[in-house]
Amino acid sequence: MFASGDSALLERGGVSDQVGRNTLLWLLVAQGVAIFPLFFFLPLWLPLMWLGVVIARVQMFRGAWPFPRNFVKTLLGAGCIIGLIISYRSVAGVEPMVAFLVVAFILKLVEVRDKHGVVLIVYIGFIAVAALFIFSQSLWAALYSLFTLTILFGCLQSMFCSQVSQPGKQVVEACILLLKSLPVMGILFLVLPRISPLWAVPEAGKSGKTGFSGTVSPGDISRLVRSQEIAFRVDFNPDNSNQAVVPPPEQRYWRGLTLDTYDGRSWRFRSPWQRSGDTLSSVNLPHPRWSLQRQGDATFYEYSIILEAHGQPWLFSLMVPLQVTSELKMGFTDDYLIMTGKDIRQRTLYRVQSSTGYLRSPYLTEAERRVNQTIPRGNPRALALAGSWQQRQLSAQQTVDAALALFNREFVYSLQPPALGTHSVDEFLFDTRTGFCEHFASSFTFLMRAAGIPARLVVGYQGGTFSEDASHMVVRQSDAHAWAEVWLPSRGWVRVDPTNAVAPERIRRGIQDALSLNDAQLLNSGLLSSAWLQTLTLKLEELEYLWQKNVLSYDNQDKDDLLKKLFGSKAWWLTGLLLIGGIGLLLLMYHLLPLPRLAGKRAHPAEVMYRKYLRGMQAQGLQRQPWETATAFARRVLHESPANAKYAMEIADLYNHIIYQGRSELVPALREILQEKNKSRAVVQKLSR
Amino acid sequence: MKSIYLSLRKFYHLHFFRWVDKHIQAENQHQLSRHKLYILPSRRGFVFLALIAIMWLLGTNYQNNLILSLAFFLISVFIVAILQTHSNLSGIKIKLVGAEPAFAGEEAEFIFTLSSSKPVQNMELQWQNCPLQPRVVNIKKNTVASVVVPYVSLKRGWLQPGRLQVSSYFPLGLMRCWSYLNWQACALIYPAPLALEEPSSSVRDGENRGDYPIAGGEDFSGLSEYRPGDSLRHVAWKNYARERGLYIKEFSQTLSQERWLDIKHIQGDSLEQCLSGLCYWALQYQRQDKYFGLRLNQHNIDPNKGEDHKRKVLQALALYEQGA
Repeated sequence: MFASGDSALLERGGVSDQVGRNTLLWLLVAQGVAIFPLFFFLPLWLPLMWLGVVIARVQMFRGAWPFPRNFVKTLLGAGCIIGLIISYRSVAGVEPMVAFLVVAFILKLVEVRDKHGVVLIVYIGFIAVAALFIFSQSLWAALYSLFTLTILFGCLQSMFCSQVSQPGKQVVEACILLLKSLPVMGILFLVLPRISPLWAVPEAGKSGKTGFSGTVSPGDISRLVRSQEIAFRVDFNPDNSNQAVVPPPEQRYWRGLTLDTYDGRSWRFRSPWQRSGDTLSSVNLPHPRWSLQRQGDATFYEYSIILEAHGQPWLFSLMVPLQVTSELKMGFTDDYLIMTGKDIRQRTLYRVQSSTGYLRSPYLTEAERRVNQTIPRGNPRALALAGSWQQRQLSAQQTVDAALALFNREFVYSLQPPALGTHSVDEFLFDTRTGFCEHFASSFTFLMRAAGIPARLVVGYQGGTFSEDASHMVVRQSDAHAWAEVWLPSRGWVRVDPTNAVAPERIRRGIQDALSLNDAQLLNSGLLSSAWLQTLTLKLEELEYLWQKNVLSYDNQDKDDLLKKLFGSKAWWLTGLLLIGGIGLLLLMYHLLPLPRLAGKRAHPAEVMYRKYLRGMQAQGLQRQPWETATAFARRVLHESPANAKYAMEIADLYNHIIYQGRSELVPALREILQEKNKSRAVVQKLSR
Repeated sequence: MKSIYLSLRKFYHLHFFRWVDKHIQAENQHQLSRHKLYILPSRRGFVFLALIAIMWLLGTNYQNNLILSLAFFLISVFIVAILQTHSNLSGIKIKLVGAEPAFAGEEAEFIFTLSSSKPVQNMELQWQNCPLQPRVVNIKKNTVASVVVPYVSLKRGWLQPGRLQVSSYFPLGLMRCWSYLNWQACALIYPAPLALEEPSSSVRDGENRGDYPIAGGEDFSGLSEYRPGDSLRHVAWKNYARERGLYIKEFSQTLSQERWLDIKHIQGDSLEQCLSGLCYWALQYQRQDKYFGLRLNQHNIDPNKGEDHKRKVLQALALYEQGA
């Protein structure tokens, strides 16, 4: 009857505060797991330092090395801080702060001696998990963090359970605890209101840099289109008939940035940006100075865009954006663009209403006209061509047509255009005649300006494909595009896409079809090469999309919607009711039906074998009675079934020795004898047949 | 500031424990129930809450739903831990088995048995007024575990250990669940042995004319069956070798030398010291298997030897002038 208490007492007289072997092992693993993903975002010397510290700590535990003295610790800390300053050249910003956290985390390991230290390290581990989420919010980061949390709680638990020493069992216990916690977290997540940021925080810089920069030179976009990365996803809202209103492919021009300054090689935007006069706010109606005029039938598109981090302040939209809604502060520019006050460093959701069929800026100010007609020196042949158009007194529309006709005749659309020299427009127009969209758009804009027509370059994305389940549209970097806008009297700014003149299929069907086979292979090199890989990638992207849409973008609006769906009202007290009632119910459930302990007692292998043996005997009509001991049963077998008599006594003896005397070393012997018995029985059966 | 804190603490202790004592009567058996168990976050738990607050701030400022989720998750773990810590201790039956006497300054051992219908982990037992490390017990499902909870007393006499503090931090150390239990328990504390000079009265000459004729001596009087505690010197080994059983040779004699441990004849600075000295010599004689008696003014114990005698003597020493 007297059970484990005594043995527990013998093992440990009381609560020991020392860090034991078990706990230390847990600690090393937990710390490694917690900081591993952070290493990808931090200086390369940190993993090396961690390795060094682990070795040192193990040596200290073995008693080979002494615990470091205070001045050594100070030296180490100072060295690391200097290292960080050298690596980052500053101490402000997210990365240096996280790096500092990791350094403290690692160094603490050296001096941890007692329970308090271990607990502190585990707590820092939790913050390390949070730090990971600053850098990455992907589904994978979340799943990995769940794993990290299991290990961290396992570590914490290993200190407060003296009994359970097997790590496997600890992990199981930790898992049970976390499984119980997850539903509670679900309720908190769904119901707790979010509040707006209390103060401004530095943003992580490294995340997501693919996309346009503020300048476009020949080759920039052709480099960009080789990436299959997703630029943004679009969700079109359904109209009254519950049918999503989607623009046709040739209308899918996602404008990002207008560039109106050309230096003969690169296009850039005027700086400072021509912002509209009003302050940025989260909801904006069309800018009054745009002087839009309704014209003909207008189609309205309402859509939400989940933009991947691109590290720039501009957002993409269809022409003409009439209204934009977002958590971020946003505003319109004079160029019908949407921009935010700060760079997009994480996935951002915004909703836009756009409409076609508007006349834009029928009047152009003198300053705007000047800016959009300026051309750099050089390119005499192109100037001469534009001059000839002017001499023929072509109207603006005729000039545009003439230029497009030129492109239509002899130009080739290619990802690998030949390099261009000083007079890049001349060389492209009259010599190489092979180029990508930025070449066409750039030279077209140049020609228009040279012919006295205000023109500018627009970069963004053209196209977009629907996801597998057709729920949303995906726009990738490979859809990157450049085109031109010219200002025509009485029509305002009009989009002209010279690429359309060269390779119309690019616009209608996408880049894959427009390129030659060779180019298409280049585009596909390594990426999405096999069909199943492509399917897998699509599925994963789908998952990421759902993750982004349902989890990362969950906000108060969604919370209110949920409450409305559940109760038909979004009163504040419902939040409280759901919170307290839900969690209370869960806890009551946990209290009443405790989860079965997964790490239950397993039957002894000898017991298993013996039961199998008994089943075999039962099949032969010999059943062991409940009151019979193993020996008594064997004796009966001896009398009643001579065929089985040979091994019966031996089996019973071995079974008794193993189970009642704890002689586990006899298990193989029992197995052997049972096998032998089966063999001989098989022989007997064969002979008798 | 500190004095305010201390006086508040004193006030709290006074009233809280008055309440506890009224609530939890001294008994021989307790079952830990909702009414007896208290639960609050431990210091680590409060740090954990601070951690959650930091994460919530971080998540809110970065508008980062995942960091917020992490904060919510830690809150959930905290909530579940409350339940788990409480259910770890609730329902345990604790029974007082008894107490072993001890010498002052040594550990008097109180023996308890614990039983529970579900597994219990990392339960710590400790006397509230005793600075010893707590005992840690794990109980398997439907079994009884015995645990010895020691108490160090520096004073001889009857020891009443006060409240037994039962607590647990299981599973994560975030919560502390505890209870104070009062017991009808007493342990006898003997004076601490102190090597003083041998009392003069203990050495006395005499040739077979002692005042106290007693059993035992040098004249063989017969055999009697061995009982535990009998001196091994008197075992009839020859009989034993012949496999006739374990017997004790009995002697009868009047004492040739009577040893008296007399409080008046021991030289010590104080009464306690004198008692300690007597205790020391009583143990010495017992070890040497000598006859001795005890004289404590009014209270006399006749010369004798053996375990029972020793116990009587030590008890007399322990309780001398204790008013009990």
